[in-house]
Amino acid sequence: MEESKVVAACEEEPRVLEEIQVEELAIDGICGVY
Amino acid sequence: MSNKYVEMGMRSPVNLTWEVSLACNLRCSHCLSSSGTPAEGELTTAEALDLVEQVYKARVFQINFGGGEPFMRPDFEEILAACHNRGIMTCISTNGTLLDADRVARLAASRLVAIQVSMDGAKRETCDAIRGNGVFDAATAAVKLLAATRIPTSINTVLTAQNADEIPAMHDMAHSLGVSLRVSRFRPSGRGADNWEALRPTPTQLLAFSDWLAQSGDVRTGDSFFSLTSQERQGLGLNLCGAAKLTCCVGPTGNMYPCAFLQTERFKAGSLRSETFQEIWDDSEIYASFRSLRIHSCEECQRFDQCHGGCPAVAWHLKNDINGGDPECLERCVTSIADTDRLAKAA
Amino acid sequence: MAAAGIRLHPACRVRREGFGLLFYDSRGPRLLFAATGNLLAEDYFETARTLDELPAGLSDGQRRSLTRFVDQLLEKGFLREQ
Repeated sequence: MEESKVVAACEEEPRVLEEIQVEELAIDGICGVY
Repeated sequence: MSNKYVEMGMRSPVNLTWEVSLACNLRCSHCLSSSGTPAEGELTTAEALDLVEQVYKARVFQINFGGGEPFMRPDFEEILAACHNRGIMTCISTNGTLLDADRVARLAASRLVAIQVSMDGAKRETCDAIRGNGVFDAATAAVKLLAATRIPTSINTVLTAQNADEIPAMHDMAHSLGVSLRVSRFRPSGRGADNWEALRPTPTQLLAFSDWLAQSGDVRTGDSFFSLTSQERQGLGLNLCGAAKLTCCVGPTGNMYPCAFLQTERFKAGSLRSETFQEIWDDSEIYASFRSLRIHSCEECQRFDQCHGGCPAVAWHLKNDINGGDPECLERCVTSIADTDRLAKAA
Repeated sequence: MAAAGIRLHPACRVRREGFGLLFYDSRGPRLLFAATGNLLAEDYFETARTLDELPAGLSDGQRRSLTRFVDQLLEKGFLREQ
């Protein structure tokens, strides 16, 4: 990679992954109601 | 599919089963709590209302009420109202015999009520053989009253050898009444233990039910059949025991347990008469042991990811070993049938 | 994120957990675990919110993530537009 491009890449702000992770879980009473 | 967030530990249960009384006007032969006469020293109204406050502070989302018959408690509607004032969802398991039009109208006034009416057969004689004469008709009448309201209503059936063949008919019956069907697992506790051999479904019946369930996505199971769950039903509910992780049980005298099927001294997590709900949830050694339950004997099984060893309560009641693995899981049913066939051929 | 107010669906509840927020939908029932960390208070969705009402002090990346998160909750039915 050309030196100018390397320098430019280093000077860019790091892109931090800030995605909010979600996880869904189906439940069916969890034996709560028999 | 374990859930990493569940494994991190929840600040409180998502829901809890609260058996408000052992008083019941029926004597069903499979009753998990051997209900009939009230327990000695059941929670007073004041204690019950205090528990509602504690459950609210713990941010529990839903309470599943059972017993005995919850409506046998004269203050039950007062307890419900306290839950609703705090935005707590309530699901009531009832035999239906004490539901009249006036009571149903009062219940329908809240959007936070769901009701399941217990019925154990599509035919009157099947249901009444387990629950008592006249119960099928009384329960059906209750379901009809409920179905005319906006209260989410289901018929709840405990799967037994006697009614296993009638489950599809119960599905049709629920549909024709405008309600949903719930089938829950028979476990050998209470009178269920006394009548286990007579009432337990056979491995063949369990397999047939598992197959039928795979095609019946609208049937609820209360997460009680994950040990039989086929691939088709993955994602419709839990695939592991939620005791002490997502749920717990409060008994009629304020003792707390991992679940409704382990209400014995051996599994008592604490008493609400000496500790708070939050303290018991946070600090109970019994709950800690359930949170770290590892059913090693099942880990090599091809279905482990789908059931994680099944129901510890059934393993306890049948094998005296909470870590022993579910004796009625899909794999064991298949093996049991194969062994029976082999023996029959050899004979 | 819609311009109109958005709030928790009446059939849903939310509470704080160590990882962030836990949503409960009584219609499923189902749970949704959201790794929001300290980004949102437990009662954030109990009043109708608009695009202007994102918490202060967020980076551009966090604002984008939060907006996407809200859209996801809307799509899944945990939130609804007023």
